[in-house]
Amino acid sequence: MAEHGDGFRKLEMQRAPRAPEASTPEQRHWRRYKTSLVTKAYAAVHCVAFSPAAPYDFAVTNSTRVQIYGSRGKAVKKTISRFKDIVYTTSFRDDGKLLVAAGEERIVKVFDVESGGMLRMLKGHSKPVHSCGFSRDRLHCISGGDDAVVKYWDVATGEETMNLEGHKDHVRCVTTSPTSQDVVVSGSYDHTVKLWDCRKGASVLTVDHGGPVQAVLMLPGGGVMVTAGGNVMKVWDVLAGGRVLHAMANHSKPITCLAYDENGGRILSGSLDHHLKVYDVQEYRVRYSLDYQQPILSLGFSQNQSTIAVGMANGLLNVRSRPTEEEKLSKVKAKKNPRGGTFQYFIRGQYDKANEEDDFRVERIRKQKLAPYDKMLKKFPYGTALDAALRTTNPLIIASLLHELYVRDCARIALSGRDDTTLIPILKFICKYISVQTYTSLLTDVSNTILELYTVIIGRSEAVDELLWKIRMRVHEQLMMDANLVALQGSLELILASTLH
Amino acid sequence: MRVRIPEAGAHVRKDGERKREGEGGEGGEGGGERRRGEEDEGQGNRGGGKGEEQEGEGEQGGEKNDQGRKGGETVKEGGKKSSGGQHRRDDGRGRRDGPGSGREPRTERVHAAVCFSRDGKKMLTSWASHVEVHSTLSGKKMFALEGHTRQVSGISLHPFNVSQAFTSSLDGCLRLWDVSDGTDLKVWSLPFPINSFVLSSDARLAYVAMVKEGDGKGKEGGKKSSGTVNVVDLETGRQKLDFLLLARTCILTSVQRLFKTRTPAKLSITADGNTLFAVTGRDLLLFYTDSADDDKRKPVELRHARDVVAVTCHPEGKFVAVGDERGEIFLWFNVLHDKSGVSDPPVCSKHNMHWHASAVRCMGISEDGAYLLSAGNEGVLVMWQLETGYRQFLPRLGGPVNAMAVSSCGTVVAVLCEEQNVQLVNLLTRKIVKTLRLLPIPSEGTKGGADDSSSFASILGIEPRHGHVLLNPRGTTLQIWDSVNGKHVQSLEVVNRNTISQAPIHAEYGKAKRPVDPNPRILQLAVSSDGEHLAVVHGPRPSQEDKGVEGDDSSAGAFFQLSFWRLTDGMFQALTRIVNPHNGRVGTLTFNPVNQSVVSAGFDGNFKLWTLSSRDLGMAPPSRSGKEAKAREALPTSTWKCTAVGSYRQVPCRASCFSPDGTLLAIAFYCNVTVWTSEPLELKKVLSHASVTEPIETLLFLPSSPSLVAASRFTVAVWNLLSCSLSWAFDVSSCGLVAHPSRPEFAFSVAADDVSFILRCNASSSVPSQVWKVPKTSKLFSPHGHGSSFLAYVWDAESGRDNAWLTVAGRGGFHRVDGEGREEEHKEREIMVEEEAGRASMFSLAFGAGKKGRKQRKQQRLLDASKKEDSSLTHDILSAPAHGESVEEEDRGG
Repeated sequence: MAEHGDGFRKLEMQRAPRAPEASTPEQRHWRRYKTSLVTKAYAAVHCVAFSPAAPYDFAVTNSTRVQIYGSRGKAVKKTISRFKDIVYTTSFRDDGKLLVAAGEERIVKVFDVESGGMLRMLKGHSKPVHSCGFSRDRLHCISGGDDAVVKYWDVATGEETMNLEGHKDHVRCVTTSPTSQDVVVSGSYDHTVKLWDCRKGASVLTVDHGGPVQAVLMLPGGGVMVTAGGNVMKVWDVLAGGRVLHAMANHSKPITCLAYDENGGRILSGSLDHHLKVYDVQEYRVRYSLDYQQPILSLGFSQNQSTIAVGMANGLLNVRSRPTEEEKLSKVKAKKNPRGGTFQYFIRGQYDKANEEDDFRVERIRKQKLAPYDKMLKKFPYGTALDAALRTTNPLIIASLLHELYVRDCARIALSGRDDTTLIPILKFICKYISVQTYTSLLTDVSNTILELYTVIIGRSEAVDELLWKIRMRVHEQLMMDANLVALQGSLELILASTLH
Repeated sequence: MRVRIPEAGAHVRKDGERKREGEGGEGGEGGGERRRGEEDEGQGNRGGGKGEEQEGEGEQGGEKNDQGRKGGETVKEGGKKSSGGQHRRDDGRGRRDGPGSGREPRTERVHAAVCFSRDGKKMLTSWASHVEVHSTLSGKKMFALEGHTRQVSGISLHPFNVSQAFTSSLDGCLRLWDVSDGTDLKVWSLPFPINSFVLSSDARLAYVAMVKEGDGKGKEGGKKSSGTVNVVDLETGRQKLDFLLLARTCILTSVQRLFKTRTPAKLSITADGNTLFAVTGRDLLLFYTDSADDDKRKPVELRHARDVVAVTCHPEGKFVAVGDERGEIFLWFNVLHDKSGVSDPPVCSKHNMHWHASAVRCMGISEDGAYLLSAGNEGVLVMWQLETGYRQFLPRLGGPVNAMAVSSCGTVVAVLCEEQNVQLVNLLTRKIVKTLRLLPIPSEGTKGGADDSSSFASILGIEPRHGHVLLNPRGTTLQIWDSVNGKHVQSLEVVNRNTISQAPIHAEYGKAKRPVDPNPRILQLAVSSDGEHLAVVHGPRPSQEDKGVEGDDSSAGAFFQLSFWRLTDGMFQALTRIVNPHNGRVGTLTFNPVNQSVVSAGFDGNFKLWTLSSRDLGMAPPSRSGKEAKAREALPTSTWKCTAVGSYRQVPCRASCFSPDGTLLAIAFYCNVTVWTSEPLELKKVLSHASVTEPIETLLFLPSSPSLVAASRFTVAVWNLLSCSLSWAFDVSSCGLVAHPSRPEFAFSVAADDVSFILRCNASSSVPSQVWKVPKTSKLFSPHGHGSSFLAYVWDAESGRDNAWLTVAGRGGFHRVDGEGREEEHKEREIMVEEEAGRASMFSLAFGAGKKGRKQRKQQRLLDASKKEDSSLTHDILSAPAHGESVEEEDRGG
């Protein structure tokens, strides 16, 4: 509470009302992802897969190999090149220890991430495989290929346990439900997305997306499914039997990939139109949009929110990352005991903060720091205060001080008794800012006061006369502009009125 | 015997001296809000010739004369400008118009007193006609000494009985109290108001300065009061039953006049009681009470250049300090009576003790006599070290200081400020150790002063949660006061700026223009129905001249701010501030009773709808941190935004009102009432009538009735909203219109010559159902949170006695809740209840008195809605309001 007897109150700045914020917190958040790696590979990057376990490495397929990058793309940790043809897809198991990859070769291969050694070769697809993954029980693999079949593999034995047939065209994406280990979702170029029950081996739900489905995503909870096909993204309520909750067409070209930010609750979509868009899951509105140089083919988002990796059609891989909280904390260096004799040694402990609980803190009375104009205001020489404010050249301070002087009814006192050298800064300020809308009314009053006070000395100083003339011209210009604007408004209204009828 | 100040040195100053002092002495903390016009420190220094040159030019220019004089005035305020000639001239003028020449009194008389008990644990403070006793340790009020009927003018402890204290009052009584429990021990009744009193050392005698009110026979017919100084024998005297004081025995004693004074004097006495000092007019009078021979029983006159207003003497009589009306302090030495007969005349100290820019209101001397304390209008406590002339300051005490007292231990001084808060200052650390707050009511001295601040100008409204009163004691401070328990709850600075002390009123100044208070005031206030939100408009007060004219506040100083506050953790915090919400004055501010929206309307003819909207936080990722994040978190999460602007004919707007369910909004534009739906905002109807020609100042929807009450300066009108016709109207100058919280009833007060009436009306009939006669200074309030009753605040400034919340409940019963929270059923003697039977005579009484000189309005114009043929016509006319008035008038004429 502002009690009486507290210190001198500083000059209150007369800020103009704040414009709506230039950036939302959301925008600032996404802007913090800074490009940390851009590499050019031999061929298109078809898939980017993040390891779900720390340290959140990610695997990138390009040409005939799978490269595993360290978190935030610092370096290639491992390259798996045991493929004879182009690799289209790869995926980590949810403990990050196994990796599955497949492609033009038609063989689904399982690798040990640690050693890079191939563990299993799952043969069965008759056409190239475009999507694969592990089931939630960690024991099975799923894959979908151009032969319109989704296969369910047993990793331990390397045998195909189930053939999920029903699609009429290339299967482009398979995924599992985050809640149930028996539910597999697949999307196909036949415009449908099917939910399969692995216990029955049959489709339990089929929804028609209305276009060739490129990507499918199950949101945590398993009740909501997002599908992307063409340039349309649809949100389905799975539990309600496949009801469309939302349809979004924010891209101008087909959407190729989807990712989900679990902590923030955001869906990310990449498209051939070079854009990556971020949607919230409440209103499904675009919250942020990122630009890339090339059509986006693949997209990955790390679970700790630190990295976005995007693969593009001509083989560019773009990794954006931002420091996470833990990393920031780890940056704070542990204090070392300085070596004896160094400067650090002699000033050790000088800037240490007192321990709040144990140490007795001696209150130090801080003297209030006042700006020069505030000091003058405190002592009341208003003219000097105005001079001090003018010296800061900050229009906000000068205008606030002038305003305060008018409120105190002593602007005349502050403005009077000046010679040309002390009058010129004020006139210059008026000249510069009288046409700025926030200061216009105040500066009009100031110039009126000055004219009242100094009319008799006009003609004695060239510099003052020149400035007064300039102010006059500035006002004149502004008035002309106002007249023009009014005319413009009139003509605009005419046009608008004619379009309405 | 008459002694003049040697070569008038006390008031003619040299340039260099002043400047040096100004620069050196001020230091960091001394400046405070001291005085305006002190800027010549800087300007005068820069070029001595400049100011003169400019003045010369001003004369050349002819019309620039004004400027030249203005400069001169500021100089005089500060008393500091380089032009010494100007000063002397000014002094000369002062001398010419002597005290007898009918000059307007320069300084208002202020009566206030504060006193410590002997042990320093209690503090006695004058509060209007009471003396309140507070504990200095806890700061809580213990009890009040009630008995005086007018402003208390002095408090003095009994010289040797530690539990007794004397008080004096303008009602002419001297009372003795037991301070330990507040019992009234003795009353001496004296023939005239007591301005000041002191006791002799043995408490047998009291020296009393009394006021003799003028008889209007002054040269210019002005009422001038003179005074006398008398000695009262407290020991003898006979007891008498006083009928005025109602069965209290009071003592009539011998009053012996010592000498006459031109103006009511202020007194001080040495500890041995032998030398009495009185300041009156320009004189300091010394009176030796112990001198035996009669011819020496004439006071010694020590003449000053200006009126002297404050006096205090060293307890042993080493010196006496006198403060004059322009803030200069003089020390007189050698003032004791020399029994040997070889008497040196008293001498004035050559020390220049001039810091105060306006009158020194009170002074004190530290126990050891080494320090002199002085304070006045500036709100700064100045501590003068007498040996060295070194000054120390304690600024920002919170308003002009009226009285001070030094505790007997000598380290604590109590300072009573004008807004009735008492600051206890430790003299060693120069820190305020405790603040005691009393209900801020303007004291009698300032009544009818520069502005029309009647007793309630400062009461803004009632907080609905607890029924606390919202007050504006000074500047932009909003004080929340618990009226039931008499406790200060919270105070709020609406704007964070320094208070500037008002420019002193001098004779020259008074002729040209009264200086306006440079500090903005709270002008409008609205509280949401749940008490969570507060909307405040502050800005410069309308000055006396431009009160009638509207929309002339175009100068740069006219700056209004609308601020919205929200209650968070028991404290109001600002959410949004809007500079100049309207172009010019804001006429009205109303909260929607249902949702969080506010309507403000201004004299520029627009009204604006403000709504609370929460800031879009978007995704607030959990990993944000750092400075930016902290700064953002500090920002309020919701802001008030203007969502709609409307106007009607661009005429000024003074009143607005929401219907109790929040769906309808009525806004008065001049004499037209516009009715809008609040969601969406659409104009539904315009109500106007020929009988309402003055701008409407209050609007009210009546609960559970389709009626709308509008009050302008001379008319109260009730519209029926279903038929959109005027139900009835009559011409009466009303104020304080309030609606009953549940029934379709309303009440308003009508001021007559010496009393005012509260009329209770029903929507259906123009005949008041009840009329109460209340003291003139009562004000009605809407009864938020007070059940089904009207609420009136009654404050009788004359006697200061009847200050109570008057709850007008039920059928004529009165619940009177006074300061202690006692609630009692009253059939008050001074509040006369007249039931319906006597209404005819009562009307003539109320209305006839209220409107002298307004003959054409005198007859009560009743328009009965039952007149069928009229009402249909009225309805048509009201639908086309632009042309309604003339037709209506003709029709009625026929």
